[in-house]
Amino acid sequence: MEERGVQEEAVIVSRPAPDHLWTYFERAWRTAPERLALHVDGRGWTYAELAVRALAVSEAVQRHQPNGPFVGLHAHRSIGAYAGLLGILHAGKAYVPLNPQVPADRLSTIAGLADLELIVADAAREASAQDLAARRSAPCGIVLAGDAIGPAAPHRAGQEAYMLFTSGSTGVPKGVPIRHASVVAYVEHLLERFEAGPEDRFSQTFELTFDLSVHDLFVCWAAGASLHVLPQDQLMAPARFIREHGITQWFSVPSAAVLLDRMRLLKPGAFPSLRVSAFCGEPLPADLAVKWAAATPNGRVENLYGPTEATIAITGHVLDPTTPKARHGILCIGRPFPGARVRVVDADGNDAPIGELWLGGPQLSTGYWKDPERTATAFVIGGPDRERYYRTGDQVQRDADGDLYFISRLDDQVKVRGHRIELQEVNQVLKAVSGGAFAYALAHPVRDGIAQGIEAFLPLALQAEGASILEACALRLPEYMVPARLHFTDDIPFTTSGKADLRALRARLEEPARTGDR
Amino acid sequence: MSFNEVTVRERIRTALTPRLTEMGLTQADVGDGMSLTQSGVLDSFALMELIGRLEQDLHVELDFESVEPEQFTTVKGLAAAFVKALTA
Repeated sequence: MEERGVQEEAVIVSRPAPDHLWTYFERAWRTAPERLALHVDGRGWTYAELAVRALAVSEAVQRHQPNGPFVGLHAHRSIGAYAGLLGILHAGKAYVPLNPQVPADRLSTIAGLADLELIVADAAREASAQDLAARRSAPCGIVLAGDAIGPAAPHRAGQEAYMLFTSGSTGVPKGVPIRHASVVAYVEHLLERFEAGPEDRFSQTFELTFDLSVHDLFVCWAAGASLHVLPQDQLMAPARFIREHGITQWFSVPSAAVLLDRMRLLKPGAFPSLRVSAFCGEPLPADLAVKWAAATPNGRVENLYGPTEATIAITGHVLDPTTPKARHGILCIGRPFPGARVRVVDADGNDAPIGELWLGGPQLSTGYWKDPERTATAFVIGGPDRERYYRTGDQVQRDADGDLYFISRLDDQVKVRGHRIELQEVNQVLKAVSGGAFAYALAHPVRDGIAQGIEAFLPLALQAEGASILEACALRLPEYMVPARLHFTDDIPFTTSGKADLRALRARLEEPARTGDR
Repeated sequence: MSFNEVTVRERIRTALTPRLTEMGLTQADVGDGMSLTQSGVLDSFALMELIGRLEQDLHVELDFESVEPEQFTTVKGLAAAFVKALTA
């Protein structure tokens, strides 16, 4: 399995950039079929073993001939998840992850929004996939991934590679389709930036519903390296996993580092195997990054930034542990990747040192799925170059070196442990399940610059129903969007513009126990 | 005062009570071997907070190096880890 030598070099050298993600995988497979591609659920799979399982999925998908560009993927940290994902791509379709950890109601909504006619599932999710298919208004088939093997065949061309659903302010999740070309632009830069090669061993921490997982899979396989999937119960404390698997490329939300630090496991020299440690998805505290750097004496720390709409990540910064560049303790997010365009725009639409971050270039999504209105608001033609930009809603500052610093959101979107949440969506669900006249959710508490959860204010009359409201929320929202705590009051402060004064509400949460809380 | 697994389990359960009440659950709903994180009773940060409070109460620090991650997410495993630390 551990073949070394000239053969493998070919994986990195034999580029032009492909026009399809399967090509990255196929190059590595053809070059070194016996090398380890994936370690999941307690066993390893070579490129050849993974390839034939993906090919079986592709054949089955093509036999079903689903209309539309998308196929659902209902699988979790299993061989079926990875063979299924690759198989969908090989068949010329784009995958829509249907994470089994998300409540069935929400998955059903997503399956409907994406017009899914086919769901690929792993063996453990056959029953819930059948349920999902049965709830579709249109006929919907099932393909089981993982066991069957299929014959080699050329892949089918495809425009979109995947579509992810993010929290939407109207209460309905919004679909962000991403093209192969956008991912390839990202992967090409990252291969070089992280000097990824066949000897690398990549972590896979992110859920497939999170686009940072696409980095794990395709930077890894494009390099001919091996992907090591953390079991669910090790995500919280990955120290042993990193050591046992000799991980060289780590990628996670900063929360993972916070937890390791609290466990006193982030000791100097703790992880000598790591060459590159990248963090993304939420603000990275500078002191935490410095601790991580000390724990990985043979590696470097990268802070990446980017919204789903601009494919995985689009700016990056390499930590200098002796003099970290930070603002209010949060590490800077660096400069745009080559090919990406960045504008910092003030309220009047002019370029300015502080303002909203606008992103352009090949990594941009074509816009929200079947939502021209929101697409027109978020994706605009602007700047002196009259190019297409995505307005991130993130307020940033640019320093004299051209490095960017994240300051805050301009709207109600928050990040909780890396998950992107529109507070309006939480409010909508709270109002719907409680029948209350109002609901005001906010991210709280915030520690080390990282929001730990959601808390919400509801009318006092609902006080007795707190537990059942939370239960109903848990059926409609993913775990990270369900409020950890409800507060009942009829005394809501308002700003002069007539909006609920979230700052004043937040201040109340900082006070010691108040009556009416539960 | 001496601690054994039974008394430490009681301590953990007492510390969990406010959260369980919040969720409309009772002690009977939480088995000793049930994962507190995968069942949604606590997220990983809340679990670490709970462990931190217990460490202060019991004047001891867990050795996370020697505890299997899946072990300290259950009442039973956590109690065993504390007893081990207390008797070390």
